[in-house]
Parts: sequence; C-alpha cells; structure tokens
Amino acid sequence: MTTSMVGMRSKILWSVVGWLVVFVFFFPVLWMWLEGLKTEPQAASSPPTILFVPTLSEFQEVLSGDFPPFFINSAIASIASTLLVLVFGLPAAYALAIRPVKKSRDVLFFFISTRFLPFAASLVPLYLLARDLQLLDNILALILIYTTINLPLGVWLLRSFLLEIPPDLFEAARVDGAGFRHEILRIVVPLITPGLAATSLICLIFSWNEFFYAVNLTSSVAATAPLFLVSFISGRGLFYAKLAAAATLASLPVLLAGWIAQKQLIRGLTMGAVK
Amino acid sequence: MRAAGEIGATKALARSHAEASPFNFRAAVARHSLPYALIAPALLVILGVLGWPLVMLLWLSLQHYGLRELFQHQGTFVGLKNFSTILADPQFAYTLRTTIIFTVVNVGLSMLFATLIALLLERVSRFVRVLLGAGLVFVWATPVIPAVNLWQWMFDYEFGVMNWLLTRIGAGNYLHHNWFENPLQGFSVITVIVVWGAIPFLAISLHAGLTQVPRELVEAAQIDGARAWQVFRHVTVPTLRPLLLVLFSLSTIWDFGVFNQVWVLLNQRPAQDYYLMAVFSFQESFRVSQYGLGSAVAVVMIAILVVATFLYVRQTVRSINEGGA
Repeated sequence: MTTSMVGMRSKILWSVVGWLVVFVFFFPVLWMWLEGLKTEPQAASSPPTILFVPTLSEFQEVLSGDFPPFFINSAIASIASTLLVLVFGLPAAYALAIRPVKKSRDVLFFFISTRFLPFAASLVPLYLLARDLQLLDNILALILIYTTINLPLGVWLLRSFLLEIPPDLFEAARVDGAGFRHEILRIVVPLITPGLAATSLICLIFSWNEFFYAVNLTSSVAATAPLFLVSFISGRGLFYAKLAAAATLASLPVLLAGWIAQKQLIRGLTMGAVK
Repeated sequence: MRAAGEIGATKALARSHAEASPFNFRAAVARHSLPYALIAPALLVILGVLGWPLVMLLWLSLQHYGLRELFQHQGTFVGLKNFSTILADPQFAYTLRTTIIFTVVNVGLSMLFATLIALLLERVSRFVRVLLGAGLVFVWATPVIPAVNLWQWMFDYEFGVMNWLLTRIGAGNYLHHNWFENPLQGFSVITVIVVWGAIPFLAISLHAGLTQVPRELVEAAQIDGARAWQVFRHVTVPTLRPLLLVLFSLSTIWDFGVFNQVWVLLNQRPAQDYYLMAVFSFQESFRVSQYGLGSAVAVVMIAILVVATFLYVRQTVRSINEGGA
C-alpha cells in the first residue's frame, strides 16, 4: 500500500466524520424547514411523520395573517439603525484610521470595551429612560439601542477597511491640492463600498435577531419578528407547522446576509484577530 | 549646484509659510480639530445610550426603588443596603454558583467542539468542507428565538422528536419524559442549545485562524518528528493565542449573560432552580418590582465580568506584544 493510498483512506474517513457532523449539527434547522412544509396534524404527530407531501399552505397562512406587521417593524428597526451606524460610524472610523490623533488608541479601546457589557445589565436604566422619554413600545427606542450596540463594531470594522486603502493615495491627492471633500468622494467612498456593504449586513443581522430589548421595551405597536415567534409558545396547541413556517421566514433574511458576509463577520467579531 | 537648489527650496518654503500663515492658520485649526469633530458624534451616542444608563444603574443600585418609587419617579437612597440584601439571599448564592458552573461548562464545551470541527474542516475533501461550512453558517444565522423554539419542541414531552429518537435507539423509555423536571437535565438541554448556537462562530473563526498558521512551521515540526498532537500543542496553539483569547473572553461574556435560552425554553416563567444571573436580575426588577435589588445584581454581574475578562484582555495585549517583538 502506498502512502497516497493511506492518505486517501484517511481523507475518506474524515469526510465520513464530516458528513455525520453536518447531519447532527444541521438536523434542527432542517427539521424546522421540513415542519414548515407539513400540515398541522402531520407536524404534531408522534411518532413524527417522515414521508409527507410538502405544502406551502402554512407559509401562506402566516403571511396572510398577523405576521407582516412584526416583520415590517423588524425591517424598520434593522434598516434605520444600520443607516445610523454608517452615518455616525464612518466619520469616526475615517478619523481613527486616516487622521489618527494622540488619543486614538484610547478612543478605540473605549469603543471595544463596550462589547464587554452584558445586555441584561443595562435593561433597568434603559427601561426607566424609555419610560421617561415616552419611548416605551416605540420603534424609535429600539432603533437608538440597536444603533448604539452596533456602533462600536461598525467603527472597528470600517476602520479596518479604511486602513487597507494605500496611504499613497491620500498623499497623492493632498499633493495635488485636493480638499477634504474630494478626498472623501474620490478616494474613500469608491474604495470602501465593499466594506460598507459588509458592515451593513452585519449590523442588519444583529438587529434583526435581537430579542432581549425588544421583548422588554415593546409590547404591541413596535413588536418585532422574534416576539411574534414567542407569542406562539404561550398559545401552544396545534401550531407547530405555523411556528416552523414563521421561524423559517424570520430567519430567511439573516441566512442570506450571513452567507454573503461571513468572512467580514468573523473579522469583525474577533476584532481583527482573524483577517 | 545642489546646495544652491536646496537653499532655493528652503527659501521658497519659508516664503510660502510666511505668505500663507494668516489664512492658513484657520485651515490648520480646522485640520487639527477635524478628527475630534468626526469622532465626537459617535462617542456622544455611545456615552448617551450606553454610558449614561450605566451611571444610572450604579445610582439605582444604591436606592430603594420599588413600585411606589417607580410611579413617583424617585427612589430613596439606602447606601449599600441592596448589596448586603442580595449577598445574604440564598437564592443569590445559588444563582451565582449555578451561573459560574454553567459558564465554565458552556465555554469549555463550545471551545472544545469548535476546535475539533475547525480541525476537521482542514482534513476533509473540498466538497465536505463547503457543505460543513454552509451548515455552520445556517446554524449561526438562525436567529436565537426560532432556534430555541425549535429545540423546545424537539424536547417536548409529548410530541418531541428527541424522546421518540432516544426510545427508538434503545436508550431507555423516554416517551412522555419531561426534561425540565430535574434542573440538572434541564440545564443539560440548555447547554446543548447554547453550545450548538455558539459553535458555528467559534469554529469558523478558528478555521480561518488555522489557515493563517505558517505551513513551514508545521512542516519543520513534522520533519523533526513531532506527532499531530505535539504540532497542535507547540505550533498551532501558540500561533492562535491572540485569537483564542478573544474567543474565550467573548464566549465568557455571552455565556455568563445567557438569558434568552432559559427565558424562552421555560415559557417565560422559569422556576427559581433555573435562575442564571441575567434571569435573576430581570426577575428582581420586573417580576418582583425591586429595581434597586435588580440593579445591584446587575452591578455584581458586571464587576465579575470585568475582573474575569480583564485578565483575559491583559493576556491578549501581552501575547500580541510578544508576537510583535
């Protein structure tokens, strides 16, 4: 037996292990997708129904029912907060990357240190503040909070993208007498578009998935998609297929964004420990 | 010739300075203060929405703040009484102990499995790697609430596929088995969910980190006769040190603050056996309406995290310095 054959065999062995891991790991998500395609009695049967004719009726029911307002709230909160992150984050990232001042390191450390706060800790004061400002059950409160949660990561990510622009370009522009406006429009914006896209996707994912503040600061008017899903649980009964269909729909935007932005996401979340 | 040119250049520079100075001064100030002006808005947002509540939290933890105070918008200052109350509360001691054990177990298991999967990713064929990567991303991107719904109902005592599966493969009679009667079993289910949800991000990061380990180093070690385990221990781990520290500290923060999984899994009414720190702080505040006590719990929580992760962060800074030297 040659060494290459041994190599082949171990490769096949590892691949079998890989398949097993994929199956075990992915099973719950797969199960959710399948349940959403069943009818209610099929979904609730025990032992579980393995063979069935897939139907989209539960999806239709969810979409025609009371799910859309929640979905829209989620979209408003995610998109608005993401835009705000870019509006506040890009100038700060530009300053930190291209025109660093003496205290830049401290500012950067301050931004990162906010990631060491547990969510649960600031709930009570935020709740009282929102109440005093009449922002309870108001989507504005969620937009503000999501903006703040995402801002440090956004600045950090955008800065790392800006650092990749060759400094020579700025030098050349300055020698040519280009102003600040020119520098931004002609150099920064075109070169950072992929970075902006990646940062936006990451912010969208986080705010789309956020549950803790949403459940405590909103009730009916401003409730987001995750809250809709939880409302099923208290109801119980024969709603498994509907719940699965709604859960699938709620996770769909994130699945897409996550797949597109996975590389940048790792870079952002590990704070640059992985490039 | 050269000297003359230099003198000429210097003169020209001096002249341009002298000519430009009156209105260049303003430009210089603008140029100098521009970075601050650009950073200020972001800083203000964070200080306002994150910093200010933190100050409020500290202040609340020193007050008696119940329902009456909630309506009056005014608490009564009681000094450190809230802290002495919670420290004397057996529920607090139980919750703190549970949370610490829970965090250690969850961080350990997440990191272990993530490392194994990251190493596996390196050894499989391209096709399986893409497949596994896709599976990881899908699990990672499944929002936590649908994910918990999913598990809740896989472990459901009546319709759950887990009970059916376990009975079917002969692990005993699990039909109509209630997983949440016994906290140890309940926490095992919660651990499965938390670890399952944590693995994708950790594994993908670790795999990305592994691809950055210099090949020559690994090959050199192999030529010197190092076994796979030794290569991992003496080449891979030291190279990945900064990444491992970041992942450890992030996991610690996340697992120490677990709330959603317990909350949703136990139908938003977790029994006291199932309190973790975040749940306890929440219950003290919003269920019992003792906002001062809840804030004190949150302050203790932050203090513990700061102490625990401060060591991590210092280590990270050190290892980055060593790497740079």
